[in-house]
Amino acid sequence: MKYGLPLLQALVEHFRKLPGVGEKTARRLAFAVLDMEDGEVRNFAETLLQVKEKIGFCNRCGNLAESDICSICADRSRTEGVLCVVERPADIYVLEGSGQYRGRYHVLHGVLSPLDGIGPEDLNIESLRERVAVEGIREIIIATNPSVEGDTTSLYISRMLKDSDVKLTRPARGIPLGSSLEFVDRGTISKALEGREPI
Amino acid sequence: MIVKSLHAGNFRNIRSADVEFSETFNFIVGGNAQGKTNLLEALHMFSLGRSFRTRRSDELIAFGEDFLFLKLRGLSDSGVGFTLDLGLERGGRVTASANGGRLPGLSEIIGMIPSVIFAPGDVELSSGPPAGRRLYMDYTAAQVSPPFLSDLKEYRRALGQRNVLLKRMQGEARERRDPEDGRSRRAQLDAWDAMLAEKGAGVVAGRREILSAVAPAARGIFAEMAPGAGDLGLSYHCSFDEGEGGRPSVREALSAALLRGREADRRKGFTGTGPHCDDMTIRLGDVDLRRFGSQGRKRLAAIALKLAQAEVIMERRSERPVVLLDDIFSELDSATACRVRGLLSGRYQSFVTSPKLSDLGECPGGGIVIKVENGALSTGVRA
Repeated sequence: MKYGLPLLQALVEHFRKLPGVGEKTARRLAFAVLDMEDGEVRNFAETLLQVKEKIGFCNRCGNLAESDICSICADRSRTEGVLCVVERPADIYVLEGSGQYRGRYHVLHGVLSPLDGIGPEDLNIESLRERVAVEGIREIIIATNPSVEGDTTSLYISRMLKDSDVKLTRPARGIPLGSSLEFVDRGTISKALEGREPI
Repeated sequence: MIVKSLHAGNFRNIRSADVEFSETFNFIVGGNAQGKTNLLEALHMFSLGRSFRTRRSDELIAFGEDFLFLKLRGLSDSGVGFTLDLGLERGGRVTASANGGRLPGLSEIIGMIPSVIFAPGDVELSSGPPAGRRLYMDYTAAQVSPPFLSDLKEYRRALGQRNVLLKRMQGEARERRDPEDGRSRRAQLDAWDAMLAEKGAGVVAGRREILSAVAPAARGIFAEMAPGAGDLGLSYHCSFDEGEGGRPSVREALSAALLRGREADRRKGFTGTGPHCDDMTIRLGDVDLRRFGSQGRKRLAAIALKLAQAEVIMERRSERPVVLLDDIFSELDSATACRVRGLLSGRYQSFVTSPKLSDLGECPGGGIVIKVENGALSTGVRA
């Protein structure tokens, strides 16, 4: 849609590029920006710039961080010696949401996938070996996604660390809480039956 | 499952037809290019939601027309009548209704009319390359075991990944890269091999299990069609030395085979052993049917395999499939034709095409003959 307003058009196109935003939503967002107070818009723009400028990766675990070390690595109340390996920083927020895990993390930034040209050298995987030695790690939970690539990456890590005496685990897969058997897909049911537990 | 009748409009050269079928044997007879296979195709549309001959559904609409429709009346094995409708407008998508109510998606119709189809090319099942027999085992196993399907999909995915890695290593070997890279690649291969061995063991176990159900069914059917020709035996042929134990021992064996073949794989740039290279051996008595069997025997064996597949799937699904056979009788001698016909009419509702009525063989039998002439269908003659 043309408005005879190239600036507004540019703003709409910027919003359009964001995930989950279509033409109509992008237009609504652009008009909302027009309605904002000057100060608020300035603040918004400044935040966008700073996010890019100041947020980098944690030197230790690869999580998002506003300084050299992320807030989780810096938190002294965290359980020492336990790591949870995840594919992406976003996965950390999911695990943190449970409130149950109190150890620290290690972010791979992807999984092994020759089809996408990704090998171990493209991932934050070698530093895991160093961390095990330096930080005295006792247990590593490998929480990569349950896909062929995620499982293979987990196998790769377990082989890489087979000479250390770290306990390696993988989260269980099975029937989601609060759901009923009726609605669980067949593949999940069979995995859940494989991983059944004594009562 | 019984198909009681079909009402078709503008389906290929069948402009308008209204046919009542026999519950046992339906012999569809007519010259070349008169529309015999079109009738099978129309029936099979209700199993698959699309044609088994083409993916371009516009081809199905009669020349010069804008739409087609098919209406089927059927009776389930528990004795409940139902109707199914399919419609297609030129440039549109196939729509389906059941008992007058529009179905939300075409996938809903898949499996409503379970069927087995045997087309002339299907003789490849017993005489052609192994890929067709792997597909046969995989399709059958996937129908009865969902975990098998996920193992198979994951095996294929991991195989694709390993092959890309091998290709890359092949290129790097030519460029004589840093040996440090080589070590990292080997560690990666270790991980992919472990994945492949795990999923591959599931694939082999699933195929073996399904063969143990299909083999006796196929032997029985073949013995009825060709008595005295010898026992039809099916067995799994593993491309690696798999050991006779269960899934863990197959996993170990595959893992060892992948390691042994690694150097060769790296030179070739693809994986040369594993379930994707396995086969199903078909024996007649002590003889390998594929190498030493006659054309006629191979054809009968392929038909027996198809019918056995239907039996096994039916056991788990509890609805009897209809059998569609395209042009198999013209190749059979009179006595065999009679036996095949007897077998079919005793067990299934079947639809069989052939150019000549005389192909039926000289034997009494139930059912009807449907004559097809330039797209017009006429019934009534007792077969």
